[in-house]
Amino acid sequence: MEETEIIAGLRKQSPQAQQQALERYGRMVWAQVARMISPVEDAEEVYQDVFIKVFQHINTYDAERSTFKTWLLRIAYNECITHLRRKRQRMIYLDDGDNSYEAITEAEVEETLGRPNQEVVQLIRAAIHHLPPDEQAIITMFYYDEMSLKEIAFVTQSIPTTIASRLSRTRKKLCKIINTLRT
Amino acid sequence: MNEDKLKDLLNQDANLREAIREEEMACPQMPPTLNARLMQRVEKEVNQPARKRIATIWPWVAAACVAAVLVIFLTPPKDNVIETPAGKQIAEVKPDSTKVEEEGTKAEEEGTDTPLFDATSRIAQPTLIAQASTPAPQKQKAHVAEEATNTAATPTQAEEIVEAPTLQADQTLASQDPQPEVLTKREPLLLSESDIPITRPENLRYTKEELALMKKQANEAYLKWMELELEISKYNIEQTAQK
Repeated sequence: MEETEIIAGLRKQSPQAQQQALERYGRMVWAQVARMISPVEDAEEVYQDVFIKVFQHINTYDAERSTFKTWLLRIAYNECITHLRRKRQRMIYLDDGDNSYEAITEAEVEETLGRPNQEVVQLIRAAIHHLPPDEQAIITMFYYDEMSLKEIAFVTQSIPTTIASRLSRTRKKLCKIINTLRT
Repeated sequence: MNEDKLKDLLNQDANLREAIREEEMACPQMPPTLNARLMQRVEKEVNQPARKRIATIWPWVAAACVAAVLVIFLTPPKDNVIETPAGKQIAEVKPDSTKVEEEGTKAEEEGTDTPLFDATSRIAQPTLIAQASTPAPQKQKAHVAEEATNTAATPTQAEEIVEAPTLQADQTLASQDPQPEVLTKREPLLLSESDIPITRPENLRYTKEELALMKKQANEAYLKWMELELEISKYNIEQTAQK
């Protein structure tokens, strides 16, 4: 089924269209949810909530504003944020209240993140866990899903310039965290 | 930071991209039964709107019941007037051992000039009336009616007659009642509307006859007052003429 057919079927509450939507977009939504929510049981619950909301509010989808995939990711992102707020998981991050990462130069960032180095990759993986879930989601959508700034802004209900500045800030944070982990 | 520079970053930050790729690979895989469970849940959610509609009606039904109960309790009570084929007989009263005739009191009214007093006495003595159909009470009626006509038309005498009905009734019953068994029977007494004690102001209503009598008495009193005023003025004129 084509995407338009799936959307038309979802508007009619067709179980076949719903099944098709799950098969086509389920993994993508699961990846978005699993990278922000832990443990797995909570991620499963949020995943189900996302698609139930999609099926109930399919009539609010506007094809002119975004693609169906981006619209799905937006709902998934918002559900994850809502779930995290509900659970009131307040994690203390290394960069909380500390803006010293602003002193890191762009050259240092490129040196750390650009030059291929397996050790640095492992450090970056450890550093990513110290980022807040929303920043993890943003850099993953940019570097892994290769989404544009406009699409990421739609998902996070922000504007592209804000996403660009957040990306820049997150890169510097990662460098600072890596330096901290090294020491 | 424009799109072109960002595209360069995608190519430059190789370590970061590799790290993110490895993290994504390490993320927990989607359970194979997750979609099936989701479809089951979706089917349940589809059935729930009907229940929700019913559930949303219940508060309105409960509110309507509460409003109905409030209306029932807050509406003023109606008069306990029950119309029977007998006419104005509206309430049953447990019969006393003595009876005083309604016709007797009516005869007293006709014979006296104080209907108002009779009305008040009627109000004060609700158990004064008996059914007119039995023969023994009829004999009593005639006897009491005779007594009423024989007695003077004064309020005190009428009061005595009305206030001591039990004594007179006893005497009459004892002396002339040929069928005491009938009287001793506990027959249900029927009262008229005017015999019900006035416990609420809105139940106090004058009958048309009482209103007519009151008007008549008011007119007579006015005429008497005018006559008195004329006499006084005549006397004053005579006094001044003599002077």
